[in-house]
Amino acid sequence: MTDNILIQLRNVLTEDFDIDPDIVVAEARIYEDLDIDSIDAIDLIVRLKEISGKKIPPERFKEVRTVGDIVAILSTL
Amino acid sequence: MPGSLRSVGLRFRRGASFGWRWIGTALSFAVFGIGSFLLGILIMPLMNLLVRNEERRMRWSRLIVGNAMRFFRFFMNAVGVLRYEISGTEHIRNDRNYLIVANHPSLIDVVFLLAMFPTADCVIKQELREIFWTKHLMKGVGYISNRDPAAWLSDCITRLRAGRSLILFPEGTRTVPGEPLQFKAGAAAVAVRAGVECLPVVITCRPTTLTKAERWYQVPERRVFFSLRVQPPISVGDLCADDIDERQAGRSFNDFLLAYFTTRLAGG
Repeated sequence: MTDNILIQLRNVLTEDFDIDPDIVVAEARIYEDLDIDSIDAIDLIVRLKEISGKKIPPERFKEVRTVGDIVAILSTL
Repeated sequence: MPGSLRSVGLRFRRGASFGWRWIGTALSFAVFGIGSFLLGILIMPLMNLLVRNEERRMRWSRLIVGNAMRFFRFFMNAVGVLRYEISGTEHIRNDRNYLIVANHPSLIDVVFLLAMFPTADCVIKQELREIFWTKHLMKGVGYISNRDPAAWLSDCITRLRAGRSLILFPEGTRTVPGEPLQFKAGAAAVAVRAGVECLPVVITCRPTTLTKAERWYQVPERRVFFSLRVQPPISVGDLCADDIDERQAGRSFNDFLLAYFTTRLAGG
Protein backbone atom coordinates (compact mmCIF):
# COMPACT_ATOMS: atom_id res chain seq x y z
CA MET A 1 0.00 0.00 0.00
CA THR A 2 2.60 2.56 1.06
CA ASP A 3 4.91 1.24 -1.68
CA ASN A 4 2.29 2.08 -4.27
CA ILE A 5 1.89 5.56 -2.84
CA LEU A 6 5.64 6.11 -2.93
CA ILE A 7 5.75 5.04 -6.58
CA GLN A 8 2.88 7.38 -7.42
CA LEU A 9 4.57 10.25 -5.60
CA ARG A 10 7.86 9.52 -7.33
CA ASN A 11 6.11 9.68 -10.70
CA VAL A 12 4.57 13.07 -9.88
CA LEU A 13 7.85 14.52 -8.63
CA THR A 14 9.70 13.24 -11.66
CA GLU A 15 7.20 14.33 -14.30
CA ASP A 16 5.92 17.62 -12.91
CA PHE A 17 8.90 18.83 -10.93
CA ASP A 18 11.86 17.50 -12.96
CA ILE A 19 13.30 15.68 -9.98
CA ASP A 20 15.64 12.74 -10.49
CA PRO A 21 13.61 9.59 -9.56
CA ASP A 22 16.63 7.99 -7.88
CA ILE A 23 16.72 10.59 -5.12
CA VAL A 24 13.00 10.31 -4.33
CA VAL A 25 13.29 7.92 -1.41
CA ALA A 26 11.34 7.91 1.85
CA GLU A 27 14.19 9.55 3.79
CA ALA A 28 14.71 12.40 1.29
CA ARG A 29 14.00 15.84 2.78
CA ILE A 30 11.71 17.60 0.33
CA TYR A 31 12.93 21.20 0.85
CA GLU A 32 16.65 20.53 1.17
CA ASP A 33 17.30 17.38 -0.90
CA LEU A 34 14.60 17.76 -3.55
CA ASP A 35 14.69 21.56 -3.80
CA ILE A 36 10.91 21.93 -3.39
CA ASP A 37 9.89 25.53 -2.59
CA SER A 38 6.70 26.84 -1.00
CA ILE A 39 4.93 27.18 -4.37
CA ASP A 40 6.03 23.67 -5.44
CA ALA A 41 4.54 22.40 -2.20
CA ILE A 42 1.18 23.99 -3.11
CA ASP A 43 1.34 22.60 -6.65
CA LEU A 44 2.21 19.19 -5.26
CA ILE A 45 -0.85 19.16 -2.96
CA VAL A 46 -3.07 20.18 -5.89
CA ARG A 47 -1.51 17.58 -8.21
CA LEU A 48 -1.82 14.77 -5.66
CA LYS A 49 -5.46 15.63 -5.20
CA GLU A 50 -6.05 15.45 -8.95
CA ILE A 51 -4.41 12.03 -9.12
CA SER A 52 -5.55 10.32 -5.94
CA GLY A 53 -8.61 12.37 -5.00
CA LYS A 54 -7.04 12.87 -1.56
CA LYS A 55 -6.46 16.39 -0.33
CA ILE A 56 -3.72 16.78 2.25
CA PRO A 57 -4.95 19.39 4.76
CA PRO A 58 -2.62 22.45 4.65
CA GLU A 59 -1.98 22.32 8.40
CA ARG A 60 -0.73 18.75 8.06
CA PHE A 61 1.48 19.62 5.12
CA LYS A 62 3.23 22.18 7.33
CA GLU A 63 4.64 19.31 9.40
CA VAL A 64 5.98 17.52 6.35
CA ARG A 65 9.77 17.26 6.18
CA THR A 66 10.45 14.12 4.12
CA VAL A 67 8.98 12.15 1.25
CA GLY A 68 8.11 9.48 3.83
CA ASP A 69 6.00 12.04 5.76
CA ILE A 70 3.88 12.68 2.65
CA VAL A 71 3.43 8.95 2.07
CA ALA A 72 2.42 8.50 5.70
CA ILE A 73 -0.23 11.25 5.47
CA LEU A 74 -1.60 9.96 2.15
CA SER A 75 -1.90 6.43 3.52
CA THR A 76 -4.07 7.65 6.42
CA LEU A 77 -6.44 9.71 4.25
CA MET B 1 32.93 75.98 29.92
CA PRO B 2 30.77 76.81 26.91
CA GLY B 3 31.63 73.51 25.22
CA SER B 4 30.26 71.31 27.95
CA LEU B 5 27.31 73.65 28.42
CA ARG B 6 26.48 73.20 24.77
CA SER B 7 26.68 69.43 25.03
CA VAL B 8 24.42 69.51 28.06
CA GLY B 9 21.99 71.67 26.09
CA LEU B 10 22.20 69.30 23.15
CA ARG B 11 21.62 66.30 25.34
CA PHE B 12 18.64 68.05 26.91
CA ARG B 13 17.17 68.91 23.53
CA ARG B 14 17.68 65.32 22.39
CA GLY B 15 16.13 64.10 25.62
CA ALA B 16 13.18 66.44 25.16
CA SER B 17 12.77 65.35 21.55
CA PHE B 18 12.95 61.72 22.60
CA GLY B 19 10.40 62.27 25.35
CA TRP B 20 8.06 64.00 22.96
CA ARG B 21 8.42 61.30 20.34
CA TRP B 22 7.74 58.69 23.02
CA ILE B 23 4.48 60.47 23.84
CA GLY B 24 3.78 60.88 20.12
CA THR B 25 4.30 57.16 19.58
CA ALA B 26 1.99 56.27 22.46
CA LEU B 27 -0.60 58.72 21.03
CA SER B 28 -0.25 57.21 17.58
CA PHE B 29 -0.86 53.73 18.90
CA ALA B 30 -3.82 55.00 20.90
CA VAL B 31 -5.31 56.70 17.82
CA PHE B 32 -4.72 53.58 15.72
CA GLY B 33 -6.20 51.36 18.41
CA ILE B 34 -9.30 53.49 19.02
CA GLY B 35 -9.79 54.02 15.29
CA SER B 36 -9.61 50.33 14.46
CA PHE B 37 -11.84 49.50 17.40
CA LEU B 38 -14.53 51.95 16.25
CA LEU B 39 -14.23 50.72 12.68
CA GLY B 40 -14.19 47.11 13.72
CA ILE B 41 -17.06 46.96 16.17
CA LEU B 42 -19.27 49.89 15.15
CA ILE B 43 -18.86 51.16 11.61
CA MET B 44 -18.08 47.94 9.77
CA PRO B 45 -20.79 45.78 11.37
CA LEU B 46 -23.28 48.50 10.40
CA MET B 47 -21.89 48.66 6.88
CA ASN B 48 -22.06 44.89 6.48
CA LEU B 49 -25.63 44.97 7.73
CA LEU B 50 -26.82 47.82 5.53
CA VAL B 51 -24.85 47.32 2.33
CA ARG B 52 -25.80 43.90 1.03
CA ASN B 53 -24.05 44.12 -2.35
CA GLU B 54 -20.64 42.56 -1.80
CA GLU B 55 -18.86 44.51 -4.53
CA ARG B 56 -20.17 47.85 -3.29
CA ARG B 57 -19.44 46.98 0.34
CA MET B 58 -15.87 46.12 -0.64
CA ARG B 59 -15.45 49.42 -2.50
CA TRP B 60 -16.81 51.52 0.36
CA SER B 61 -14.92 49.62 3.06
CA ARG B 62 -11.65 50.05 1.21
CA LEU B 63 -12.36 53.75 0.72
CA ILE B 64 -12.81 54.04 4.49
CA VAL B 65 -9.68 52.02 5.27
CA GLY B 66 -7.61 53.95 2.72
CA ASN B 67 -8.69 57.28 4.18
CA ALA B 68 -8.12 56.04 7.73
CA MET B 69 -4.56 55.13 6.72
CA ARG B 70 -4.07 58.55 5.11
CA PHE B 71 -5.25 60.20 8.28
CA PHE B 72 -2.96 58.02 10.37
CA ARG B 73 -0.01 58.87 8.11
CA PHE B 74 -0.86 62.56 8.50
CA PHE B 75 -1.17 62.15 12.28
CA MET B 76 2.20 60.45 12.74
CA ASN B 77 3.80 63.15 10.61
CA ALA B 78 2.01 65.93 12.52
CA VAL B 79 3.03 64.73 15.99
CA GLY B 80 6.59 64.31 14.68
CA VAL B 81 6.95 60.56 15.14
CA LEU B 82 8.10 60.21 11.55
CA ARG B 83 8.73 62.02 8.29
CA TYR B 84 8.18 60.44 4.92
CA GLU B 85 8.87 60.87 1.25
CA ILE B 86 7.09 59.20 -1.65
CA SER B 87 8.60 59.23 -5.12
CA GLY B 88 7.95 57.68 -8.51
CA THR B 89 4.14 57.92 -8.40
CA GLU B 90 4.28 59.04 -12.05
CA HIS B 91 4.93 55.36 -12.87
CA ILE B 92 1.45 54.38 -11.66
CA ARG B 93 -1.16 54.34 -14.39
CA ASN B 94 -4.74 54.29 -13.21
CA ASP B 95 -5.94 52.37 -16.25
CA ARG B 96 -3.60 49.47 -15.44
CA ASN B 97 -3.59 46.88 -12.72
CA TYR B 98 -0.43 45.64 -11.10
CA LEU B 99 1.03 43.14 -8.76
CA ILE B 100 2.51 45.61 -6.29
CA VAL B 101 5.58 44.11 -4.63
CA ALA B 102 7.33 45.80 -1.72
CA ASN B 103 9.98 44.93 0.80
CA HIS B 104 8.75 44.89 4.39
CA PRO B 105 11.08 46.67 6.84
CA SER B 106 8.43 47.74 9.35
CA LEU B 107 4.90 47.23 10.61
CA ILE B 108 3.99 50.71 9.30
CA ASP B 109 4.65 49.74 5.63
CA VAL B 110 1.08 48.53 5.44
CA VAL B 111 -0.23 51.95 6.50
CA PHE B 112 1.68 53.65 3.68
CA LEU B 113 0.81 51.07 1.03
CA LEU B 114 -2.90 51.06 1.85
CA ALA B 115 -2.90 54.87 1.88
CA MET B 116 -1.33 54.83 -1.60
CA PHE B 117 -3.28 51.92 -3.09
CA PRO B 118 -6.63 51.89 -1.27
CA THR B 119 -8.46 49.82 -3.88
CA ALA B 120 -5.84 47.07 -4.08
CA ASP B 121 -6.29 43.58 -2.69
CA CYS B 122 -3.93 42.23 -0.09
CA VAL B 123 -3.36 39.03 1.82
CA ILE B 124 -4.20 38.80 5.51
CA LYS B 125 -3.71 36.24 8.22
CA GLN B 126 -6.73 34.03 8.72
CA GLU B 127 -6.78 35.00 12.43
CA LEU B 128 -7.90 38.52 11.46
CA ARG B 129 -11.06 37.04 10.00
CA GLU B 130 -11.78 35.24 13.25
CA ILE B 131 -10.95 37.75 16.01
CA PHE B 132 -14.15 39.57 16.84
CA TRP B 133 -12.92 43.19 16.57
CA THR B 134 -11.33 42.66 13.16
CA LYS B 135 -13.60 40.12 11.51
CA HIS B 136 -16.29 42.59 10.41
CA LEU B 137 -13.64 44.87 8.94
CA MET B 138 -12.06 41.94 7.09
CA LYS B 139 -15.42 40.74 5.85
CA GLY B 140 -16.11 44.23 4.51
CA VAL B 141 -12.84 44.80 2.68
CA GLY B 142 -12.78 41.23 1.35
CA TYR B 143 -9.01 40.74 1.43
CA ILE B 144 -7.54 37.34 0.55
CA SER B 145 -6.96 34.96 3.46
CA ASN B 146 -3.78 32.91 3.86
CA ARG B 147 -5.70 29.99 5.42
CA ASP B 148 -5.37 27.47 2.62
CA PRO B 149 -2.20 27.90 0.51
CA ALA B 150 -3.76 26.43 -2.65
CA ALA B 151 -6.82 28.69 -2.35
CA TRP B 152 -4.56 31.65 -1.58
CA LEU B 153 -2.57 31.12 -4.76
CA SER B 154 -5.60 30.73 -7.00
CA ASP B 155 -7.40 33.70 -5.36
CA CYS B 156 -4.40 35.97 -6.01
CA ILE B 157 -4.24 34.92 -9.65
CA THR B 158 -8.01 35.15 -10.21
CA ARG B 159 -8.25 38.68 -8.82
CA LEU B 160 -5.27 39.93 -10.81
CA ARG B 161 -6.69 38.42 -13.99
CA ALA B 162 -10.01 40.12 -13.23
CA GLY B 163 -8.17 43.43 -13.52
CA ARG B 164 -7.58 44.27 -9.87
CA SER B 165 -4.29 45.23 -8.25
CA LEU B 166 -2.78 43.16 -5.46
CA ILE B 167 -0.14 44.04 -2.85
CA LEU B 168 2.32 41.31 -1.82
CA PHE B 169 5.42 41.29 0.34
CA PRO B 170 7.74 38.73 -1.31
CA GLU B 171 9.54 38.31 2.02
CA GLY B 172 6.36 36.91 3.52
CA THR B 173 7.22 38.54 6.83
CA ARG B 174 9.11 41.59 8.07
CA THR B 175 12.79 42.03 7.16
CA VAL B 176 15.33 40.93 9.75
CA PRO B 177 17.71 43.94 10.03
CA GLY B 178 21.32 43.21 9.19
CA GLU B 179 20.56 39.98 7.39
CA PRO B 180 20.45 39.46 3.61
CA LEU B 181 17.04 39.96 2.05
CA GLN B 182 15.16 36.68 1.50
CA PHE B 183 12.17 36.22 -0.78
CA LYS B 184 9.71 33.35 -0.69
CA ALA B 185 8.56 31.84 -3.96
CA GLY B 186 4.98 33.15 -3.77
CA ALA B 187 5.01 36.68 -5.18
CA ALA B 188 7.10 35.81 -8.25
CA ALA B 189 4.96 32.74 -8.97
CA VAL B 190 1.80 34.87 -8.75
CA ALA B 191 3.29 37.45 -11.14
CA VAL B 192 4.28 34.80 -13.70
CA ARG B 193 0.99 32.90 -13.54
CA ALA B 194 -1.30 35.92 -13.56
CA GLY B 195 0.71 37.54 -16.36
CA VAL B 196 0.40 41.08 -15.02
CA GLU B 197 3.00 43.80 -14.69
CA CYS B 198 4.88 44.07 -11.42
CA LEU B 199 5.07 47.46 -9.71
CA PRO B 200 8.02 47.44 -7.27
CA VAL B 201 7.96 49.75 -4.27
CA VAL B 202 11.31 50.05 -2.50
CA ILE B 203 10.79 50.99 1.14
CA THR B 204 13.45 52.22 3.52
CA CYS B 205 12.94 53.09 7.14
CA ARG B 206 15.78 54.68 9.12
CA PRO B 207 16.43 54.04 11.92
CA THR B 208 14.57 50.74 12.05
CA THR B 209 11.30 50.77 13.92
CA LEU B 210 8.59 48.22 14.65
CA THR B 211 10.45 45.27 13.21
CA LYS B 212 9.49 41.83 14.50
CA ALA B 213 12.04 42.20 17.28
CA GLU B 214 10.97 45.68 18.45
CA ARG B 215 8.06 46.49 20.75
CA TRP B 216 5.99 49.62 20.34
CA TYR B 217 7.56 51.43 23.32
CA GLN B 218 11.09 50.98 21.96
CA VAL B 219 11.09 54.41 20.36
CA PRO B 220 14.12 54.98 18.08
CA GLU B 221 16.78 57.47 19.20
CA ARG B 222 16.19 59.60 16.10
CA ARG B 223 13.00 60.53 14.31
CA VAL B 224 12.08 57.83 11.79
CA PHE B 225 12.38 58.64 8.10
CA PHE B 226 10.32 56.59 5.70
CA SER B 227 10.95 56.57 2.00
CA LEU B 228 8.75 54.80 -0.54
CA ARG B 229 10.16 54.73 -4.05
CA VAL B 230 7.77 53.49 -6.71
CA GLN B 231 9.79 51.99 -9.57
CA PRO B 232 8.85 51.67 -13.25
CA PRO B 233 6.60 48.61 -13.82
CA ILE B 234 8.32 45.38 -14.83
CA SER B 235 6.81 43.17 -17.51
CA VAL B 236 7.43 39.59 -16.44
CA GLY B 237 7.11 38.21 -19.97
CA ASP B 238 10.06 40.27 -21.18
CA LEU B 239 12.38 38.68 -18.63
CA CYS B 240 11.56 35.03 -19.11
CA ALA B 241 12.44 33.02 -22.20
CA ASP B 242 9.44 31.57 -24.02
CA ASP B 243 10.62 27.98 -23.82
CA ILE B 244 10.74 27.62 -20.05
CA ASP B 245 7.83 26.34 -17.98
CA GLU B 246 5.89 28.19 -15.30
CA ARG B 247 7.94 26.72 -12.51
CA GLN B 248 11.29 27.76 -13.97
CA ALA B 249 9.89 31.15 -14.94
CA GLY B 250 8.68 31.72 -11.37
CA ARG B 251 12.04 30.78 -9.95
CA SER B 252 14.03 32.93 -12.33
CA PHE B 253 11.70 35.90 -11.80
CA ASN B 254 12.08 35.46 -8.05
CA ASP B 255 15.89 35.56 -8.42
CA PHE B 256 15.51 38.68 -10.54
CA LEU B 257 13.25 40.41 -8.00
CA LEU B 258 15.54 39.57 -5.09
CA ALA B 259 18.57 41.00 -6.90
CA TYR B 260 16.48 44.03 -7.96
CA PHE B 261 15.48 44.91 -4.40
CA THR B 262 18.87 44.04 -2.89
CA THR B 263 20.61 46.43 -5.31
CA ARG B 264 18.17 49.26 -4.73
CA LEU B 265 18.24 48.90 -0.96
CA ALA B 266 22.05 48.86 -0.94
CA GLY B 267 22.08 51.99 -3.12
CA GLY B 268 20.28 53.89 -0.30
